[in-house]
This record gives sequence, C-alpha cells and structure tokens, in this order.
Amino acid sequence: MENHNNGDEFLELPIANVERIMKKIIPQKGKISKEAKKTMQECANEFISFVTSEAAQRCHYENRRTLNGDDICWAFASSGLDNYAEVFAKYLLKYREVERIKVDEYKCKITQRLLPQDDDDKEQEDNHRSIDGEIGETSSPN
Amino acid sequence: MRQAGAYSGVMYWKTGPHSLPLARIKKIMKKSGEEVKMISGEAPIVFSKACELFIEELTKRSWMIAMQSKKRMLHKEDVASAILATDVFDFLIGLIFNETAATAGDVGESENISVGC
Repeated sequence: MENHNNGDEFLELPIANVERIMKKIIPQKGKISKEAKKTMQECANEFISFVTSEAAQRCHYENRRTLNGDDICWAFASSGLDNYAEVFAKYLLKYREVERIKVDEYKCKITQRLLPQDDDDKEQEDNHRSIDGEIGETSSPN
Repeated sequence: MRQAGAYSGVMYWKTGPHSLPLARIKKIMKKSGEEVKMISGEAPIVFSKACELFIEELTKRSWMIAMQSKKRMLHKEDVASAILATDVFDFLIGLIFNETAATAGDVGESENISVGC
C-alpha cells in the first residue's frame, strides 16, 4: 500500500459530486454559494475521517487488522448517528447477500464449463465412427 | 434521472453508479489515523452511500435555515447554523470555527445564531 503523502494533503471528495448531491435537495430555482459547496465538501471529508478513526480504534482494541462494514456501523452508533447505524446494518446485509449470490453463480458457471466437455468429446467420437462406417472409410487403422 | 431509494443501488455495488469515487474514499479513510491499516472492500461502499445521505441531510437542514431568512441562495453561514443546531454534528464544530476564525466577523455571527432543536 502506498505511503507517500505528496499532494495528498488536500485529498478531498470531488466537489462536482458534492454539488450534484446538494442540488438534488434544494429546489431548482435555489442556488448554492461556492463557499457553501466547499464547506459541505470539507464536512463530508470530516465525516469519513471521524467515523473511520472511531471504527479503527475499535479494530485496534480488538486486535483486528481489517476495518470492515460492521466496524463502521458500530462507529455510527457510538457517535450518536443511530439512524445511519440502522440503515447501514441493513445495507450491509443486502450487499453481502448479493456478493454471495455472485460467488455462487460464478462457481456454477465454472462447474458447468468443466462437465459437458467430457461428454461432448465422447459424442463426437461416436459420430465420426458411424459416419465413417456409412461411407466405407475406416476411422482408425487396424 | 430517477431518485434512488436506499437499496435501489443493490445490484451496482462495484461497477457503480456510486455518487462518490470509492478509491478517493479509501484514501481519505487511510489518512484518518495511524490505526487504520487494512480496509475491507465493503467499507468504502458503505461510506459512498453514507456520505451521500450525510450531504443530503446537512443540505436539507441548511436550506431550511436559509429559507427562514427568505434567501434563495445557500450560504456557508446556513451550513454552519445547521451544524450548530444538530447535536450529532458536533464533531463538525471544530471545522467551521477554524474556517470562520479567519474572518472575525463571521465568528460573532455564528455564535449569536439561536440553536433551535
């Protein structure tokens, strides 16, 4: 994992994306000042940093190296963001279910690809023999 | 463009559409502290959606404050007021006071705004 911080000092979420989300909320006639967008961008950044560091502390305390979705939900709850904790607990359940389905489908495809191969070869061999018999040719030297 | 519900993006986890870029979110997470070592794939995905909801909520609250003064434009002060008026957004107070400290007048203004909750 890269560790260099050159240019990462001002690492932020893209302001265009932030603006797009804000515009969904305010009426079409409404406007947003440049400073308000900047402030929102910084708040969203702080939101990520704050929750992540809470979650990371928990991981560290439990001697785990990998921060996962459950840790983030826990951090939401411990920061008083109970509605976020609830919403994302459900979100994670769905996400994990979808991922499981994807993995199962993939495994299915792999298995299907392996089995018919053997049957097809045998079938082709039989076909050759019968065709050769009909036109009087022998398929294998005797 | 249709409004997405909380779970309607269920089939678009990795390929998008995500409102916010996963790689950037991951970098911000890594920068947040020394204890952050490894991050599972699902974590930036949770944040992509959570940030979206967070921005929506803070925008809604800020806009309501702007409307009280019959303004048609959302200003930084409205966002600051919304933060002050919402207990769970206390972690953002340091951020807005760092910004407003640069202009002394703004600090006075923010402090005088009534907190209605």
